[in-house]
Amino acid sequence: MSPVQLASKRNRESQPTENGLPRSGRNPAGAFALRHRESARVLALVLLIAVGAAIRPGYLTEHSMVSVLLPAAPLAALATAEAFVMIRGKFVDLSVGVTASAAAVLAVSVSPHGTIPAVLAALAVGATIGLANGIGVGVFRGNPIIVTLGMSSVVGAITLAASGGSSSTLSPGMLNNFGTASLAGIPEVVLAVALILIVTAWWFAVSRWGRMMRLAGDSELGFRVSGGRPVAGTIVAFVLAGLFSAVAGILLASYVQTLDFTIAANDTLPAIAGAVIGGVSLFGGEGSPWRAGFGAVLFGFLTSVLLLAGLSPYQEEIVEGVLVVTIVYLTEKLLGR
Amino acid sequence: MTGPVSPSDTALEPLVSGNALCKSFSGTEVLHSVTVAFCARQVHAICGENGAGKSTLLKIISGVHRPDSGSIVTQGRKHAGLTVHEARKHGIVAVLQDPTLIPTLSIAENFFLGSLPGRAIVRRREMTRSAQEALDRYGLPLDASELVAQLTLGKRRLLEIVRASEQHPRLVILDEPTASLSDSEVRMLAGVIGKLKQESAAIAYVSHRLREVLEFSDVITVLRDGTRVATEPAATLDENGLASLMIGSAVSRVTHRQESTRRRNDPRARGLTGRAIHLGASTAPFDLDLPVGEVIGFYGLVGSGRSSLARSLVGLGPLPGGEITLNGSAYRPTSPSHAARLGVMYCPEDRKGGGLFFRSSINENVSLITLRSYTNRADIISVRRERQAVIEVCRSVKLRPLNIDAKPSQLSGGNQQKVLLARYFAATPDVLILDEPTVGVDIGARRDIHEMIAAKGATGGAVVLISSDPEEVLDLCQHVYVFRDATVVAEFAGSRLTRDALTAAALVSPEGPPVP
Repeated sequence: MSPVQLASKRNRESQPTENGLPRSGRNPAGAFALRHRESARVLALVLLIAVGAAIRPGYLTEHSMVSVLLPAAPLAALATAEAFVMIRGKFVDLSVGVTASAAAVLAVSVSPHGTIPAVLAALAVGATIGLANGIGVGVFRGNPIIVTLGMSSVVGAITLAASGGSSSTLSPGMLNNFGTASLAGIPEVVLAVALILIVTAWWFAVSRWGRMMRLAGDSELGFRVSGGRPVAGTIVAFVLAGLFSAVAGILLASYVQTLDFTIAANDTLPAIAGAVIGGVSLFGGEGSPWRAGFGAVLFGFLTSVLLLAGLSPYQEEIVEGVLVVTIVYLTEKLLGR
Repeated sequence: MTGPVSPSDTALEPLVSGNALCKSFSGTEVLHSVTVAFCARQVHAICGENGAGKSTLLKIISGVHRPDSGSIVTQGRKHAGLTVHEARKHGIVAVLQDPTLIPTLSIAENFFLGSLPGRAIVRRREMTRSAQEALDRYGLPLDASELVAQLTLGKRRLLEIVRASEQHPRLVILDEPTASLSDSEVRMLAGVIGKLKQESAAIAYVSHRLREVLEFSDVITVLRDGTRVATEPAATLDENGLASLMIGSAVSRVTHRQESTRRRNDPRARGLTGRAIHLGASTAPFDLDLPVGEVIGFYGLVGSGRSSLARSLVGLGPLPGGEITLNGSAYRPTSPSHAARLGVMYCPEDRKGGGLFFRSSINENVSLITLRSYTNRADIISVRRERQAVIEVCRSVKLRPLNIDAKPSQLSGGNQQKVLLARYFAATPDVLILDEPTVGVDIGARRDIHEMIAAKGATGGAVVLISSDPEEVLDLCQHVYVFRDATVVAEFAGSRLTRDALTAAALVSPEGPPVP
């Protein structure tokens, strides 16, 4: 929870400085971090892999890499979902994990009727949840934390009721084949996410809507005064978040054999962490889908190295929680926001 | 041009005085050898135009600034300068415009902040009783246990003054005390000031509202360009006399002002017109004509209603009353985006809070409004066309260096303002409202911006220039509306448009009806 609270607290403190220069301009460590933020992230990834390889010589094998990348793929989609609302400005969506779970359960239960209906149903439910969140936050000016947390509770309960609380198994079909297939040793799920991220990142960089979401996040008031429609941007951002959560759910449904109705419920914090670590600002106006995806991969390697180091899953979660908060704090502090 | 004059026969000993105070900020002298004496039982008003040195003088007296030379004398001791803490110890308290009360606490709790009665447990009843006594003594009809949040802004101001008075000060400095007060609250303020005089305090009073200055004060000191030009008993002055002391004689100069290119008979060039516009229920209605092809000035002091009118015209506030038309059809915008689609845009004064996007590039800052014209049917931006257009408009506003990939935070204030204006100049609205476009920019940038505004006025739609700088308005505008107290108090054009006419109209009520 703390990155969000931390963020809103720091945001109040870090108003623009008097001369309009970002704080890092006066702080050599911050200026250094700002200049080398891209290389720092790549370096972190290389270091993590090196540490993994040092702990277990077999870490660099194809099998290990796949076992890290496969769970990182749906997380990358979730981090992208989070990135849209974060870039739009000071928002965070706490319902992405539950939305992904609901989409996964729905995809599995529709899958006897065919893969395409299953995928469409999952996307539709994701978009609907996102639209409701967007209207709650944009039109009714609800606090995004409360609106999306309330949404989590509602969607979680409906998913539980619909699934009867039991695990379900995907019917054999196209979706199942896709989830278990590999191309040149790389799971198709991973390739699909990579492709989606590239297209989305391109779209976000060159489309008017992408630009609008980012500028509205940079200065909502300025955007409004200049004749922009910030509410429309909010709604689009939340709908995209819902859609990408659904994509994460579909990916999970495709390769997880027995699907629990809480499959992705705990993935919201890792998704936020992935986006922030990748360089999406919690204060809006900065970031891109590919950054969120890269952050999620980084996060996946971090998890696997911690487990390799001999931590139990519980210890691993504790260390990870502390690390995430620390990393988010340092990122925002060093980059001067 | 005499020293302090007492209204009574007895010669008064000043409680606090400043002798030959000088102060410069980064090489510019803002206060030149000003001497002023605040005597017991006297309300001493300090008058002057914006930038005359009033607030610098009072900040020196209350310890915020240290004078470069000169001294402050209090209780017979000479100080080369005071700190805020020392000033307070000598009984100098200032009630400034920024609110200092805590809204979530009661009146009584606010009174005793920092010195709550009782040791471990606050003696609430005692606290409330003594706060209530103070309220009653100063004639404020308030309940001490009430929360400050429930009070009007005016009552809060009065409360701050009473709280300051409770510290038995020698000198109370009141900065624009009537700024948010209703008529009945102004009468309460008169009571509070009377009580302070009874208790032998001196009062320094700063206000732009000359009528109230004359009503409340005993002595008036007038500052102009950092120099004291007069100290007179209030009884010897009237509104016009005071205003002419403040303005002095100034030469007006005209450079960019051009002949109107207005085409009177073309209904599509009529621009924006308003009949019987009023901003509030109790303000006087006025008419407004913003024809295409003219630069029109909205002149007035800060807070006189110019910006509120502009903001409400683009849907940033409630629509003003009256009948408004744009090029002949009814104009009722619901939001800035609606106003922009209809053809009216507003460029805000505050570059940092609502103007520029500091995490985005100059390119993205400038192309925001016109972005749609560089996209294809799939909503994809053509980078080449966008950059070409942005470079062109940035060149026309003389942005130097012409690096559109930089971020606005790397620019000087003048260049930041040029980037902001470039965004609006890239668009072609029928009515473009610019709010204080040259505040905080250097002289070179100011000249460039003036040229741009003149050019835009000659070729584009109507350009409205909101300014509190008479030189700027005289330089650029063909027609000027003068604002005071949320309404238009005068209109000037042609030969009637002079510096003295503008500043006098902004300060005092004009004799007779406004100039047609």
